[in-house]
Amino acid sequence: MNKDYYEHFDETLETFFLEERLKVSVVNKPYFSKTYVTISTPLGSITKGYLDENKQEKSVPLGIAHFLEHKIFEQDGLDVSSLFSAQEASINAFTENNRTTYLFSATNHVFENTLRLIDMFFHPKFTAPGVEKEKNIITEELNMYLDDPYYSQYHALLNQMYESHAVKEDILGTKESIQAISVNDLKAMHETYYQPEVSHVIIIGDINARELETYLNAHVHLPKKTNKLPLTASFKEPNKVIEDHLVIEKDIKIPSVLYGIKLLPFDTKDSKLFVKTHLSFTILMDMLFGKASEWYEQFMDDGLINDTYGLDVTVEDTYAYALLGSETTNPKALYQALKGAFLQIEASMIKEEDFLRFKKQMIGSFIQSLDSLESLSHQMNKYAQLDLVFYDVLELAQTITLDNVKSHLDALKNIDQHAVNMIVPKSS
Amino acid sequence: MQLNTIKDDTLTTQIIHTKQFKTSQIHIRFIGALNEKTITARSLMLAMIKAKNKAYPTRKALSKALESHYDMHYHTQALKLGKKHINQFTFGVVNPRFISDITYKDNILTMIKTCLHDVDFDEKTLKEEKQFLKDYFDAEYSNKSRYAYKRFKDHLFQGHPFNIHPLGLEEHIDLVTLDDIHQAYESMMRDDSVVISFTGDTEAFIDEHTLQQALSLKGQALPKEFFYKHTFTPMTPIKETMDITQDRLLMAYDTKTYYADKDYFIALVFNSLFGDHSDSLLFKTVREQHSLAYYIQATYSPFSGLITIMSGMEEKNIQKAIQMIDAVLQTIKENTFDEHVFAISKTAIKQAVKQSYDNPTSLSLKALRKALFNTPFEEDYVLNNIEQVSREDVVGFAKNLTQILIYHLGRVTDE
Repeated sequence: MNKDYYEHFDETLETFFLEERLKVSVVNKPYFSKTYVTISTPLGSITKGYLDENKQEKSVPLGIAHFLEHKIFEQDGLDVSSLFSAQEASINAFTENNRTTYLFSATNHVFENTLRLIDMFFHPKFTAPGVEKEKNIITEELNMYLDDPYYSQYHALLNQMYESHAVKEDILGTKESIQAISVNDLKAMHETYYQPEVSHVIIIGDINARELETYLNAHVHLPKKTNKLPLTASFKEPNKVIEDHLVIEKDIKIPSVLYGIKLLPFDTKDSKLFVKTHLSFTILMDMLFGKASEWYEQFMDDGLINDTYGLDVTVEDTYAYALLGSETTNPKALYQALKGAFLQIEASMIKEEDFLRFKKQMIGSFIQSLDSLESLSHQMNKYAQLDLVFYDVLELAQTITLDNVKSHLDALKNIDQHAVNMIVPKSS
Repeated sequence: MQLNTIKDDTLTTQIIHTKQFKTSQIHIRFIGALNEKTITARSLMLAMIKAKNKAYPTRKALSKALESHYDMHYHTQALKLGKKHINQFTFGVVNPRFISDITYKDNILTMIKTCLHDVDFDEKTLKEEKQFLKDYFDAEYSNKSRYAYKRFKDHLFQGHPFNIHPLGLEEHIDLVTLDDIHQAYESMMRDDSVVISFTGDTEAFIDEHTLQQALSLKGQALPKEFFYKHTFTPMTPIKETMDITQDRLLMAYDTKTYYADKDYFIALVFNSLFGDHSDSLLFKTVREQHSLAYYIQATYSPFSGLITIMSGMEEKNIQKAIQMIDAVLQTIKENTFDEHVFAISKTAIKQAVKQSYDNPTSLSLKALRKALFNTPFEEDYVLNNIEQVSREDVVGFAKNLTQILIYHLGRVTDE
């Protein structure tokens, strides 16, 4: 077992492997009643298939990672979630573009529940009737989201930005692809991607890691290795958006503008450089368009945005984008203002004083994230995928220079990589 | 963890001492009347306080200041509690032991005091906040789940104080003047009851006397009457239509049981068993057995005394779901539900209660309830009471429920 004490944060991280295959990380959190446990696999919605035993590429319907997330809970037609509930644990799961995570929070029986989670994750027992029954439930989940105009707007914008990258697809798939999913698809994807070597268990709570290690080693049963292989996706995308401007009429009262910049994926094997790039780009966007920026004040003074205004930066290995958006009573003017702002950006707008303030903000934000077991687990998981420890990220962030931040300016200026989606009330 | 309350006729200060967190939270709650005539100005006034102040005269300046204070969190929220309206301020800060700047602690307290006392109301900000509030009400229409719930409440709470939105009345927004805002602020500072709570490590940060001195707040004694007890009259089912993908079903039952009543814990167990978690009877029946819906949830509101069911599904399944809900309720009334599900339903509440002690805002709310209703702060109080609820208690409770409303928001059809 490896044990690291991070003195500056007063946090202890212990790690060990089960059967030398499955990594387990434990963060001790004294005084907490709750223990939060996750297990995740790098199978997300953008994975389109697998290589079978003969190295033949096999495609699967869209939405399979999410469908699998629903069905992992099945053991021969029975739902195992009630076994967690009976032992003071509530279980859940979520699917992202590049990862699926299963979790529970428990106030008792943490060891037993952790073992049950690992067992459920690696050894589900799907049945054809169970899979068929789930199709309507997932379709209703999709229907629920489709009644949220901002959800539809986000997907519409990604479809304007990307030609073929799977990030533009809904994580749930389509009504048709959900119907097309079979038990065999689920079994094959599960066998390929739910392997201990690429999975990670994170446990955060008032837990004795050594006792947990002993317990799990005595009881855990990991699956045999598979001859199937993950599909290494190659995404060739043009360096421009597909449709720069789209107005959609919806049954709404207040319009909404979502403005996107399609960024080139940052292709590097150096994880630290990758993280520094992501963080420095995020700082740049915050300095230019955050709530303490000149542009924010201008848009507010001109009555173009309201308190729903926000921005988001996503950087992954095969895609990256920045989004800005707000509800607005004047969508055309907001679009012109955003586009105009990007055309006017220059290095002199990036000030040392603001940069130093952001460094303070990062310290505060980092420490605050340690009080939320859910947030801490999510961050640990995200950085573990890059072979980094979350507790080292703040130190890494503090090495970012103003020049690092300024170096991304050109990436924002190519207007061919910009797209806007506006949803407006239906004309009568 | 320890709760210390200092209370007199002008101020209640609650210190929840815990070493659990690396941050501290300070809540300041102004408790006033839920009054239809003044609520819009009161909520706009709160939003204007949050926008800027004399020391930080623009939204940008205030945002910069919060970032400089190591990402200090500053939120305001207008809430309802029975017949009362609460303007709530929340400040979240990193504990000083993690910050090397020796002026940090004093700066934080100065900042909080500034936000509360150095208000700076002007026409420009009022105009902006009025527009934001109009936008908020317009946006309720955009999200169809939110809209369905809004329409359900519009029908359910006709003539009831619960029909008053905590942010005010849409039709009053344009009528509010800057004078109204000044009056609302003066009234809040003079006429409201004030409860301050600090959740965190007092040794590392602050004690109650320093906190009271730093904030210099005084108000009225705590109110004694919170509940608007109302007997709801059953209504004819209502169906409305709009351009949606998924039909929404909402149902309401009157329990006539309110917070801290003798049957309060029975209400919690009944609601849990009925439909409050993924092993509840409704979830198992409607979603797991019959695949009619992705979600179905029962929620008990101890201040209105109502249990509300919410779900979304295809139109053809709405009547089936209503029949299933009736049948599930019947199994409870007939005491034929599974003992295992009953046990899990109590366990689910116990788990939620224990977990709530890991959340600073929940801790602060428990302390507030102790101040207002004199209910114990400690978890054993709830856990023991939940444990004592029997099957017979739940059966008796179910028999006394009255169904008030079935509301269906459906798709527009060509017929």
